[in-house]
Amino acid sequence: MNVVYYCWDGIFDSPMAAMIHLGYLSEERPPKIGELMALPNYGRLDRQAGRLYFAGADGHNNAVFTLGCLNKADLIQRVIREASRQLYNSEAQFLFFNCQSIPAWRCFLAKRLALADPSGMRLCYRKSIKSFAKIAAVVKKAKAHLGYL
Amino acid sequence: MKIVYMCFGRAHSSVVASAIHLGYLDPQRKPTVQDLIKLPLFDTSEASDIGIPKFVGYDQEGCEVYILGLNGCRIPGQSAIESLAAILEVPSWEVLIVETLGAIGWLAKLGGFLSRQLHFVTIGRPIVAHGIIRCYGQLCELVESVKRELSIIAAQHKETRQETGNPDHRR
Repeated sequence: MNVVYYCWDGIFDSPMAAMIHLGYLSEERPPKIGELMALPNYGRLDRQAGRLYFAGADGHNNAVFTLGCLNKADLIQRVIREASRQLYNSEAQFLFFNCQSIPAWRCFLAKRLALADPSGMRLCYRKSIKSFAKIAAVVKKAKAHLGYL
Repeated sequence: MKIVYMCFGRAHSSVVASAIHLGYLDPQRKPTVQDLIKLPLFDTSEASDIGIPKFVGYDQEGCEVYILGLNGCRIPGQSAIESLAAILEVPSWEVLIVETLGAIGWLAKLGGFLSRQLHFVTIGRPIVAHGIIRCYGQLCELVESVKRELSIIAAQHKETRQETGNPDHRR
């Protein structure tokens, strides 16, 4: 099974969800800025929308991916499912979980801000810390869906 | 190998490019409006077909030819398909995605918009057909370049197989 956490840009929310899923971040308390900065997948501004990024394998041998879908989440999901089936003749299963915690326009501004000035990244970290409860709830839901809880 | 001709709505430019590739349309002779309208998939796609590759046939080399519409998300969609290759451990050259929208002009796009988006089929279909005929040469050039690329990939793959002796060698 391939677990895919997706958000608007695949830079902040979905990597944080993947890191919670994989146990790098606590499910119970919001992370500190230093913890977020130390994560390899988080805040990578070079991430391409649509591309699946492997975050790691969880304890149940399921691969965890992050994905940026912009505002075309349904279409990207359909492309991934149909392309794997028809173009790559694979029976791989993909489970998608939306961990978008803020509106798309705020994601867009956050990314622009972070690109414009490194100090803008700190605002993005704060935004993620504020959204921790929502993202942790999505991970819990995903784990319940996978039968871990 | 699989060739995917990709455009906006999987209704016009990708259909014509795949028809040229498969030999249903003659690259030496410009088609008429009727020739285009007679193509089974020309101007027929619906919104529900977007994002789903449609198999249209095998070419002379045995490659599978598909058409695909990705609306306004062609770059993310293409990235998604390409990233799947690595995840599913399939050689990256196995699927070649070709965007056909760049080969057509504004008239075909206008006709396509009228026919598929606004459902003014009676007006839009002849306009898009005329638009495609105007830029038929560019579509033929695109298909020709794809065929050249395919032969290069096939030659490289053959060399790699000979070097490694492993038919399943993956880049």
